[in-house]
Amino acid sequence: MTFTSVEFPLFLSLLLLLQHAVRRSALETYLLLLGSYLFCVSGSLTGTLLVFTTSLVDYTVGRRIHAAEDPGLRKRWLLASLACNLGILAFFKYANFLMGAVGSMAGTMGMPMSVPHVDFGLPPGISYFTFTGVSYVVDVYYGRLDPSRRFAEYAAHVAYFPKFLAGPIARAGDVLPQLTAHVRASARDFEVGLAYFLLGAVKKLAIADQVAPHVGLIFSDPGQFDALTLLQGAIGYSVQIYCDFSGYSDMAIGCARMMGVRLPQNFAMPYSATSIAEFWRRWHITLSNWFRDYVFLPLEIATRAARFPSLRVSANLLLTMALCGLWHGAAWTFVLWGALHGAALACNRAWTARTARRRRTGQRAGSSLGTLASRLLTLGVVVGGWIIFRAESWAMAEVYLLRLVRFSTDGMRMLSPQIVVATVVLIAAHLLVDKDRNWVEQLAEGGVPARAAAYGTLGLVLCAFGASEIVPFLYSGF
Amino acid sequence: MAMVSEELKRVILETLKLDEWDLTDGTLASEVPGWDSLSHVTVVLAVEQQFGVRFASREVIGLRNIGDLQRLVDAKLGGARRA
Amino acid sequence: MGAKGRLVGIVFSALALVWLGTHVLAALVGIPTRVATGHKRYGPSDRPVKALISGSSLTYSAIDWASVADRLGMAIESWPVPGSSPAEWEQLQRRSPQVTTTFVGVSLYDLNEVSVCEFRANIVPIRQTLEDLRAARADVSFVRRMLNWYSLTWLRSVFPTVGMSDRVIFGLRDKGLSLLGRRNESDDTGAALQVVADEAPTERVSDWPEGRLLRRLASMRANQGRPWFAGPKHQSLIRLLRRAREQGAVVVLVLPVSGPFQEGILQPADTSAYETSLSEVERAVPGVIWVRLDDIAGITSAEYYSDLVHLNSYGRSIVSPEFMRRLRGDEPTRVTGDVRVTSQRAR
Repeated sequence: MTFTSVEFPLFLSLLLLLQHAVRRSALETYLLLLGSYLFCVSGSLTGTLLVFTTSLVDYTVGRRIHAAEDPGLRKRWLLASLACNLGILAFFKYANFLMGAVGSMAGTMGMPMSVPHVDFGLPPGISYFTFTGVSYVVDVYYGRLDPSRRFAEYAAHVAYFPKFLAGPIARAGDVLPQLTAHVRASARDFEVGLAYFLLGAVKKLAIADQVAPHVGLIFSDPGQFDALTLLQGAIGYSVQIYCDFSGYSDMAIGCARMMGVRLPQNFAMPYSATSIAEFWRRWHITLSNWFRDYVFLPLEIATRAARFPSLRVSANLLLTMALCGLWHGAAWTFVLWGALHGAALACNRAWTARTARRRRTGQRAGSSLGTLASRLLTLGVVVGGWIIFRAESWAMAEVYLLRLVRFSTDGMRMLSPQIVVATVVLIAAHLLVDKDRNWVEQLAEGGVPARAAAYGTLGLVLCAFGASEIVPFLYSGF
Repeated sequence: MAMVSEELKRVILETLKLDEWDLTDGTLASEVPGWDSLSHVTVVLAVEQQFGVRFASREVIGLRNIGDLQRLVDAKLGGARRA
Repeated sequence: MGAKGRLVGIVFSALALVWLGTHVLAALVGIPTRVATGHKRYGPSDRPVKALISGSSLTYSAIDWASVADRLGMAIESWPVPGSSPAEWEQLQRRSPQVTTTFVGVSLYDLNEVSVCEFRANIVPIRQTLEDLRAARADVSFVRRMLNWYSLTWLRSVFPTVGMSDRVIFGLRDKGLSLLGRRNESDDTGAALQVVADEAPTERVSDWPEGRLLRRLASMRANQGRPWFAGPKHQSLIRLLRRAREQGAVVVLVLPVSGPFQEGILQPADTSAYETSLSEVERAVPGVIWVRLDDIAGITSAEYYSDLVHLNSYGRSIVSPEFMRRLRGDEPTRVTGDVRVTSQRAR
């Protein structure tokens, strides 16, 4: 079951009604737990068992760490939980990738070996619930969070259906207090939730799913198209992945909000960023914060004695982002994509360090031309990165990029009306909407006619342009 | 309540290459231009060197604002160097 | 009025806006708000209708039915529905209880379960679909897709453009082009609502730019899952033929589809699954005349098609006379079984 499947509206309305019936009673947590596990089961049974197992392990470890005095014991509990979460992730997501890497390494060392290929299927949500577990246990370990005192509440947080399949990767510190307090949705919350859901559905169904077939076609065989078509494909994929993923996040945030729960923002107009660092503060925010807090900063602290500080930061950035790339999928193209972003972040850091003297108490005298240039440069890196990210193999990515930079004219030209229109719409939206404004939240404060007109227009766009056949959400595959 | 010492303030501003910024007890790192996750450890390292102290990983990760940093420095120095 | 009352007011005004907007759009681009079953009659107008055509638009683009009716001296009727398949024909067949001859056109496109008629849910009762899905042991994703279609149809009775995004997009583009005084030359709208064309189009797929062909294949692939030939359509076809056989003579025309369609959408395993399903039908309903028009030499060539599955006028000028020839028994090895068609023609 996903948010756009036919049974989801039924599921959600039933859950909201039941929640209303048992309000302010202890049953509420169990209802939420039951609903979330039903949602998980509809995806996969293995996945559900894994969610339950990691929840139980992490809950227990959280309590043990909190109770333990001995630092060594605390550390051992932490490592046990990390091994469980990351082990499950490695086993189900990276088994073949790791064995392949070992095999090719042995091959280059003159010890050819045949590597078995196993396929367990990727349980839905695995990349998300394991990360949720890791952040909980680490936060408890560092004393930033008191451990949950009721297993049902903690389990409901981990399996919470709005964020189960594809995030946002909300921290226990944000979600658990809301679940414990049995927050209520006000009329305003419900309205904002609906608006988020509607906006997300428009992004997913009316934009991402409409451009998906042509993008898929161009990426399936880049060698046969000319450079203009390839450029169109790269831009089309940038549009698709943004609308698909931020649309899903909006729907998740919307569902939770209809129940009164606030999930953290996951996207904030990322393509308006004027630097790659800003891009990562606006793209998949909960994931980049996760990697910042649980990978990059610990790495920085552990290596702070290193001799060359700027080299240290760059190396840590590269490593963190390569891991972040690997999180997206078990393939070298993802690692490379991450490393590219890591390198871009390091360059960006070197550049801002050089120009830092010019910063007078935070005010940058940036010309509008300079802003435009930095925006375009950032977009260029991001779009180029998506080519590597989307390509089915490194060889394909190479063909794609080479034909693009050589501006090959020998291939076929295909103009996709869907990609062109979607790109124009997205550019217009980015020009019109202030990147720091939260459109949905602010709209709910407006007048009644404006709200009715805005929601009506979104509904109309959805009814007129929403693709009817189901294309799976891109990010739930990660 | 701990006051932010001039010495700490100077180290921070120098590391971040800032001429002037109002740093108070409750100032969050994210409110100071240039002080982000990338420069965080660099700032902490500069503070460690300036005061001749060494923080544990847990202590660095637990920092929430400049007041916390000041208190941490004070605790390490046993309050001896407070001006 | 409290916050809740205001919210209800907002939601209802927004829904009213969507209702209005979708109706205006539907009228603008020509999306029917009701099922578009027409009625078509061929042949001598003074004789009672004794024959029925059950087929999708492929059957009309392949065969010149007016001349078939004239040559057979027979009045033929049909209830054309765009994109229809045996599931819909089975329901529409009940409108013609008087006929004694039934022509049924099938193809790799029509019998593929994954291509679903837009009006399936309007024509076929959901109970029938569910029964057939259960009997066919359809997988969960297919059942989900069909149920999705029924609920979309229900939504469409209020908001007529729901699930019709392709029609809206192409319709708006054509409207825009015609306002600019230009004809649409870049891409066709897929199956146009006009099912029965007396004149087959002269357009040739072989003249298409390669990009256009690829785009069409891509959108066709995107809208469908793995080809499947053993589901509700298969069961409907058997029931349809049985009933038609009870009423009289039955001729099944096995129609060709273009080479690019076969190569781009289907795999060899799909083609053999299709053949298996045809021979199952043949065994299940004896006494049916099978006319294989898909084995005419070279008929899958792209120059005979106006799009991936519909024959153009060049294709029709080959297939239609060949159908008459084989029906009359010029090639007796091809046509076996019932003789009543021949005797009717002789009369």
